[in-house]
Amino acid sequence: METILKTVDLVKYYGDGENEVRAIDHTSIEVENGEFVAIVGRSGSGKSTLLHMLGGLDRPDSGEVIIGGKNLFSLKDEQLAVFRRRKIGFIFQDFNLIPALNVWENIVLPLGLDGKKVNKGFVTDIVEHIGLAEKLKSLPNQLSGGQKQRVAIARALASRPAIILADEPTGNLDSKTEMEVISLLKSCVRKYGQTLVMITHDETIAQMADRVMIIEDGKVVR
Amino acid sequence: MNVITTTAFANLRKNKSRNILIGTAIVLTAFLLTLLPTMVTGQLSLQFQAVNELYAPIHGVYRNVDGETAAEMAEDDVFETVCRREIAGKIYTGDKDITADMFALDETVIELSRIELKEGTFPKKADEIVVSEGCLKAMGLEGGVGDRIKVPYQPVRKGKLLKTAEKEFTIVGMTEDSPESLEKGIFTPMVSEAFAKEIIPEGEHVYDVYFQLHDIEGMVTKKIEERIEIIGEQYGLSKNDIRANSEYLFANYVDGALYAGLGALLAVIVLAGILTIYSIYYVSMLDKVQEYGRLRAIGATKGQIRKLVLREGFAVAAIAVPAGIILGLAGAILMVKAMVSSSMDGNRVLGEQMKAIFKSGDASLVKGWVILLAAGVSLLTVFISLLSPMRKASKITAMEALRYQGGRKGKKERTSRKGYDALSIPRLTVSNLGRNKRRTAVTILSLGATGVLFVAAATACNCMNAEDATRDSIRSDILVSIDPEEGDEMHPEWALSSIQQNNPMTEELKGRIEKIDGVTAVKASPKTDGKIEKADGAGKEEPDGEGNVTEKEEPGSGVKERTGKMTPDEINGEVKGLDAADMKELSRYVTEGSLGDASLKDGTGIVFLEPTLKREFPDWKVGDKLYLEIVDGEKIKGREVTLAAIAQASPSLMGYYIAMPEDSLKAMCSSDVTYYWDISVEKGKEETAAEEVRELVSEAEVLEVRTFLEENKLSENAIRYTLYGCYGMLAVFGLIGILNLINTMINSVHVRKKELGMLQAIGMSGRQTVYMLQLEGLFYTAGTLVLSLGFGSILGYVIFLWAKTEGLMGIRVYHYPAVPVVCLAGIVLAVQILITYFVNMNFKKLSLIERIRFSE
Repeated sequence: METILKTVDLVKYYGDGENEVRAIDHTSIEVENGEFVAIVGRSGSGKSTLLHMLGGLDRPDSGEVIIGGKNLFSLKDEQLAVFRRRKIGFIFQDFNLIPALNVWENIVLPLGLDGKKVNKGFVTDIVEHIGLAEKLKSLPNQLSGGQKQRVAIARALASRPAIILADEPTGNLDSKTEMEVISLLKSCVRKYGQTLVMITHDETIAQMADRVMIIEDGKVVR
Repeated sequence: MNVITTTAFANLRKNKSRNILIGTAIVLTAFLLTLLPTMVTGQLSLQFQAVNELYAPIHGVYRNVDGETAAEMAEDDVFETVCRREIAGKIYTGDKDITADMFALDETVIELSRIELKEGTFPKKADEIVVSEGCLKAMGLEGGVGDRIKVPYQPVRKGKLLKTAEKEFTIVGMTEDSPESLEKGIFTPMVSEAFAKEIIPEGEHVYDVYFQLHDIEGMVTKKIEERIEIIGEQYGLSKNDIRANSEYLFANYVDGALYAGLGALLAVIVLAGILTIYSIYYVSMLDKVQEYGRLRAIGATKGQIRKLVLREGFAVAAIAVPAGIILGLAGAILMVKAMVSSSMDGNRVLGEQMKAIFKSGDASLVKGWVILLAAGVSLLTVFISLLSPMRKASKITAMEALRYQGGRKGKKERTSRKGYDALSIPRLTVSNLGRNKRRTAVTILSLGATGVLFVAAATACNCMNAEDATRDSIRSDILVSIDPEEGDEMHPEWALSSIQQNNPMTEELKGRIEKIDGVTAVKASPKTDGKIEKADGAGKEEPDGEGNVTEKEEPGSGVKERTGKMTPDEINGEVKGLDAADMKELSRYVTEGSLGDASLKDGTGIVFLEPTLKREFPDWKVGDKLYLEIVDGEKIKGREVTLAAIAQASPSLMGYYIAMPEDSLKAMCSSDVTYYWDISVEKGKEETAAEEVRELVSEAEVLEVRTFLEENKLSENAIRYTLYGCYGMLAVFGLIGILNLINTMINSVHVRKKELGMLQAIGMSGRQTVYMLQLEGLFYTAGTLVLSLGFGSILGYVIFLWAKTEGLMGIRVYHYPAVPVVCLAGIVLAVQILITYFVNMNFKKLSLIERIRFSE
């Protein structure tokens, strides 16, 4: 199996002296292509910081994040933005849809930002798979939490990224919807051959992953 | 301090940038509300005080009143006071440029006019006189109080100067010469009424009657002026002989128009203030929803939220209003000082007096009521601006706030949109703008409103053109014209009819002027005095009392000729001859009829100046047959003419009355009726050329030289302050608008921090972000400009038309304010680009994570 994502001795500290917080403390992980990895940790364990590093949203103090053979932090901001929209799909806890855009537009937004032509067949396929074909013209304020997160999933898939990063994707959902969304997410990555790294504090959710990493005090302990 | 106030103060600090913006807007509003009234009332109170110190407290004067009527007036109950003055004669010096009318004043006039003698007393006996040193010098004499002098003088009889006589007077008093009188050669020696009685036969006295009216307290100046006119007309006086003492009336009675104008200006400022403050709140309120919601969640009542918003607003106002008022007062005092210290040439005496009063500090410029008004109106402005935000904030429920995503609340929300198949940055921008149409509209409207005012004010400024005003009276660089003096028995050669027989404007002199360095052209135009009336029966009248006898008609020409002189009473107009080029120019200003009329071609047509026609012959229409008589040397020529057209051209082109083709006028005349030389000069050589022209024509006493540059200076002075005021308004409107734009842009980013962060997380690059923000800004800019230029131009044109018909501020010709408009567009564009840049810089300081997490 090919390693799609790799961190090398990643370090991120906040504050200094007595107030120093070791958010990420010399962490090295590897994720294989097509894998579904869950990173589990308690609140404040550093899991969100790790995910932000993986996605190139935040820069580490030292160490490397390599996605598809490219070290993210060797890129300039503008290049990183382009890299993000091409290689990384994000799914956030609070959905982060653009309120002014309808469902379809939200989904194809990363393609638009990249100036790419929309492959309608592909996107329509995703939309049908996530069960929102009827809602394409709806604005986000008309959707339930679960529906919003499905739109976010479709958006992450639409640009066929190298890896999808999900930050507590079910954190804002009730438990029934939670399971639905996770199942959908899992079936999507399978169907489209995607790699998924998901962080969660919920062990049950984590159990649905191929592999679970546990993070404590900025270190991956398992 | 209760919790609401404490929270309001805490908010004050937290919403620092917003409150600085709002504070600036309030300061600006209070500043203008103080500045304008203080400046206007300050300037006026100085002027009023100066007027009351200088001007006689009379309401008006009736001129050319005969003795009988004057006596009737003295008995009339409508007058509180009636007094009179008469010109008994004129001291004869032989110099045409010296005027020294001998005034015989009654005691009341002396008392009211506040004439002060340097020494001595006023004349009582027939051989007593009051003179000034300058006057004596003009006569070639010296002397002081008690000296006997021989005065050569011309008695005045019904406006005519008789042959010189001489009389020995005792100097009983001396007056001071003003710099003006020395410069212009105008002196006012005073003689006694006894002297006037001695030399003017009973029944031939002509008085100026000065009066004060009864019962006019509390009346507006316009009404008083109307009353003065009605009374004068009842006494059979012509309009030209009725004069209200406007300066004095203006200083002592209420002028409705002034206060209406000031009120309108203040209303505009209040409106601009409300719009700005409201829109700043409106935009930033979106950002505060969650905060108010949280307060509601922990139990704040609607009333408390309202109070919170109100107190926060008033806390800002508590600092901003006094600051604005102090700045306004300081600005106003500086402005008044600047205005006073560069007093205008037109009224130097008044200006000097105002300067003296300003220095002495006798007139208080700072008026309590202005401060109270400014403070009250500013606070009211803030209050009105806060009404809607207060209501909105109090309506926010806890649930709404927590769910709030920056869209609209309460009202029907859009549930879907058609959308695009694929997205791009411009499409994303359009979607964003469309999301909150109302906010977008409010922003553009409020930006546009100030823009409209800006363009309107710019139009007024631009049309307030000194050159246009000057061009009304002089259209070439140098104008040489005839300056006749009628009815002087000592100098019959100064009368127009005599000048025409021996016109100094010869081809030879013209040729010499043409040779002056820099002179490019000398254009001669004819003009003569005349009498115009309805054709029926006119021209066949009996010879008048002066013994005009013969009347003959040149065969076939239609021109009748009689010998004799037209008396000044008969003359009711003048006729100017226009060459082909001038006629062509005139055709642009024709309002009725046409210059293509057949009568103009065959020499029997005339063109009338519209304002004069409306004023003096309101019943005459195009096509009317009129009878025109003109002064032609020793003869009077008359013919029937047709009123072919009416034009509203500048008097420098067509004269104040009648114009006709040059050839037609010349064909009627046998003498040389050349009246004007319009001299064009190369740029930069005007002054030296004018000097040489003056030198050349100095021999001819009856020629007068005026230059465009000199007259333009006077025009510039006359409109300077109005213009400054106008540019001031322009700056203020511009400032308010820019403030508004800055606020809109900052807020539009601030509100969407999270959204923008998220866009960047999914791959929007920094450049794309700036591009998107700039597109948004461009949309606002374009919307603002369309509104400003569209409505502003229309409003500006309406203001122009109004000012033109009212004859205000020297506005005559419409000039589109292209430069200010281009500046406006440029500045708005530059501000918008700069703000986008700065906002983005500021935005970059936050890490992407902070942006995504942003929730305040």
